[in-house]
Amino acid sequence: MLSRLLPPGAGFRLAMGTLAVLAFLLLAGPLATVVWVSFFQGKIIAFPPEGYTLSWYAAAWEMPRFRGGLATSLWVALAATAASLAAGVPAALYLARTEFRGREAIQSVLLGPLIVPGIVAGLALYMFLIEAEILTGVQFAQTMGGLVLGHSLIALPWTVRLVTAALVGMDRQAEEAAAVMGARPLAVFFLVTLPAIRSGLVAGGLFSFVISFVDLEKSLFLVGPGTTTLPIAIINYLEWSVDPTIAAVATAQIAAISAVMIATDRVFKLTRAF
Amino acid sequence: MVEPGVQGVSDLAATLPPGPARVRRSVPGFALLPVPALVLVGIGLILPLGLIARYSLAEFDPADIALQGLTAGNYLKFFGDPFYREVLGRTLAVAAGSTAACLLLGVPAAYAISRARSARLRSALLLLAIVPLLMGNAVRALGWMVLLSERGIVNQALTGLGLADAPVRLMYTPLAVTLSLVAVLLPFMVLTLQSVFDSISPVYEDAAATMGAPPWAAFRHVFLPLAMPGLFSGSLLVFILGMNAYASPVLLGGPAFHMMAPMVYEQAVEAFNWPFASALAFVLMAATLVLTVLSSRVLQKRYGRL
Amino acid sequence: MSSIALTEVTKIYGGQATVDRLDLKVREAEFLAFLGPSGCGKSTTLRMIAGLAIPDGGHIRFGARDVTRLPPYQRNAGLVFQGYALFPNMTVAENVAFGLKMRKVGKPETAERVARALDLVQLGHLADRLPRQLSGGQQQRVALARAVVYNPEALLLDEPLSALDAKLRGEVRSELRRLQRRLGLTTVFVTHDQDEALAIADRIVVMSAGRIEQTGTPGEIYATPANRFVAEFLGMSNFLPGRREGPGRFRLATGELLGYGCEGARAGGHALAIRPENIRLLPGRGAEADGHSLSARIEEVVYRGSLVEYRLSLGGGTLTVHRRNADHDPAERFEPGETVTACWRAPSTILI
Repeated sequence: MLSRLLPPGAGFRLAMGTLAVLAFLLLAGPLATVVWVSFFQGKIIAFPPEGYTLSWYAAAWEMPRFRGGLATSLWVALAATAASLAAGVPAALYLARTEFRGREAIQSVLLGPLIVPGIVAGLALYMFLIEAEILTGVQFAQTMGGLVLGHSLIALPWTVRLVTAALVGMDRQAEEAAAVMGARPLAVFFLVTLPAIRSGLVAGGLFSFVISFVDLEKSLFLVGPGTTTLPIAIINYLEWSVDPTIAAVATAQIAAISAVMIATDRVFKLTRAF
Repeated sequence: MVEPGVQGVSDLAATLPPGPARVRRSVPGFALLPVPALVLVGIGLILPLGLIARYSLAEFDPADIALQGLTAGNYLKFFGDPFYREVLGRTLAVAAGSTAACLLLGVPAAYAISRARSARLRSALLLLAIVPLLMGNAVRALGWMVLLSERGIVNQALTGLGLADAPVRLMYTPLAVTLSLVAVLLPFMVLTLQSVFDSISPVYEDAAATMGAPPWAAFRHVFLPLAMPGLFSGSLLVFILGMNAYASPVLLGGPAFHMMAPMVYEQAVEAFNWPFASALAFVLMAATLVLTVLSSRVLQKRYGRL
Repeated sequence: MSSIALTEVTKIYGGQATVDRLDLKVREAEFLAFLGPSGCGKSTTLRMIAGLAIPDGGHIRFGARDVTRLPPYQRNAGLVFQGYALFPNMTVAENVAFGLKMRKVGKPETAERVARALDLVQLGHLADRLPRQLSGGQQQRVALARAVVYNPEALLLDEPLSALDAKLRGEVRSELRRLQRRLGLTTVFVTHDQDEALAIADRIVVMSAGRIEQTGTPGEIYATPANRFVAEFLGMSNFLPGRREGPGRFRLATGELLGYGCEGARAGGHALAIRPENIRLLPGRGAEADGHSLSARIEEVVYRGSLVEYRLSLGGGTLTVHRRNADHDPAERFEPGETVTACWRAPSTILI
């Protein structure tokens, strides 16, 4: 019936368009809601709001668990980024340049952290750290060290992926030209290769940072008193109450990550990472 | 942050040059380059996985957490108890339902991105898919809690429009979990599909149209068959991530709604039953792996090498 | 089969007219070629005829039927795409059957018509192959079979030979022409290759910047280009700058007075065009002022296989001359530095 009234092909476009709009609403809706609610005046969230205020941001800032969580998350994310770059860049260089038959096996191992579910990997690392503690008498679990180790692992595959892609995509002839002109391998790497893959490095670093910063599943097992990350602090709070304070915290996180992503997008189109 | 699985691997494989890369053998120590990363993964992932594999076969003594005994009891307990079987069943059902919903919404969304008229609209829509992905699950779950609560927007709208007399209970229902899970997983579906759709030239749809196919027929007979491998890998990825969901069931499902991932956490940290938690983790991983392997087998049979 | 008529057809992209008020009629069973450089609007015009682009102004008719606003799937035209666009997941037979399936033709009839179409392009034995298992020429023929199997009102070809190597191109071209004649298809062919257009078309439409420069048979267009653009685009031409002094009289910038054979339809009157193969060379300085010869010096001799190319310098410019290399007439061989007389027959010069 409808198809008779509409111009040809309109039914299809209407159906696809409606579903697409629904999809994008589903994606953006929750985030927009969080930001909106963070400005609500009433402590109990009700629609429509009684009024708007900025006071929840101050309230959130006053809460040590969020301030501590933010500090922990920042430090862990920075350390994990450094570790994933330090280990990931040489590995990516190897993967992109080797002709060794075992390359694919090495690659699978390095991308393994992407495949093993976070909750499983988190449990495994947690138990492993405690076993190590029992053996050595040194505390590993629930320390920054353990947290950083776990986070380095979830960041590593992204670094390897992005840097390998950059290495494969770069012009190899520049390296060869430098070598012909007398540059030794190390000089070639630092003077030609590294500048050429700069965008891949920056993207790998920023991605590692964000991935670590927002991680929830893996951190669950690894956090402890004094080493609670921001997402864990948020989810712990959420199990008891939902109010504008937590929305303010979440909005702050949204703003911080958006800033990092805009910076990333400048040097490396985010859309190429997927 | 949930981790993208299959897609990551297949993508990197695609970025590597076909055949052996050029030689670098002349550089001393070249073969040592991947060692730090391999050691990191070895210590942080592979050894720990080995440890929980062993633990899943250990006996549980509440008084002593040290590793002891060798038994299949943990697995027998899991499969023998209808409660746990039901948790596994529920996890599978929620993951499958979310995957279906993600397909239904993700295909049009990815199609809209891939066939966007202007480059600006395209990147705006792409960012709309990527941004939520990087915000983390805790923040997005919060959004749904606000939307679905008793005095949330959805209920306000329902009562306001006269569709409901009193607030409907939305929180702590399977619907809430599935809904938030769909939103969490949708970016993965959309991004996977979008990259596949981009590789399908619009010229095929044009060709179909000149031969007399209306849009729907061109989509069904030409576009979808070409996109099928992408639909499969997107669904697989979303299904795996859905199986392992934590934040959505915990925050929106409430204490009575059990799924596998939260149960692993409870057993390990609250009940301190490491052997059983390990077994649960392995069942979860095995269920995902088996389904992954099986479906990619089916896929390869039907569509050749992917 | 029907004629195709375009009236005032316009397409605007980004504020600029890619196709600008185009008027054209393709006669029934005619083979018409759109020829022009890339970006001249020829492909856009073809897409508008196919329905893949909607004109911003004007009308398109198939016979008496106005199809301007009709979507492609209601036009009943057959289009062969530049890269063929064969569905990679369907066999050759399934590809060819697609249009019939959309027309809800029954299974037995479909099978029969697909077989006939494939026989027509001599691919009956490859019906069950996938497109990627075929050679470029075979793929091209599948695309052709796919476009004609449902008896379209018009066959549209978008650079269909450009993906083939040079040797194959000639073969496929002849085959395409034979098929078109046999089926009596109204055909529009888009190409940037002048040889292709000259060899295959009944009529050529030369386009540039969204407008028609000239329409005519290959012979007309080559022999009497309407303006400098056409003369330059088709084959090679020498241009002698100057101005028209009266009917049949042209004063070169360097002072000599020349005659000319005809005037281009859209001539500006500022140059004479003469094709390199229409110029003969005679040794020594000849009689001046006969109106169709000039003295020149040989600057360069380029051996080009079937012909020899001479680059001559005149008082004010250069002249390129092609001489056939078949018979070694020593009297017609020259060395750089020699002074020669370049002469031609009056009808082969055109005022541009």
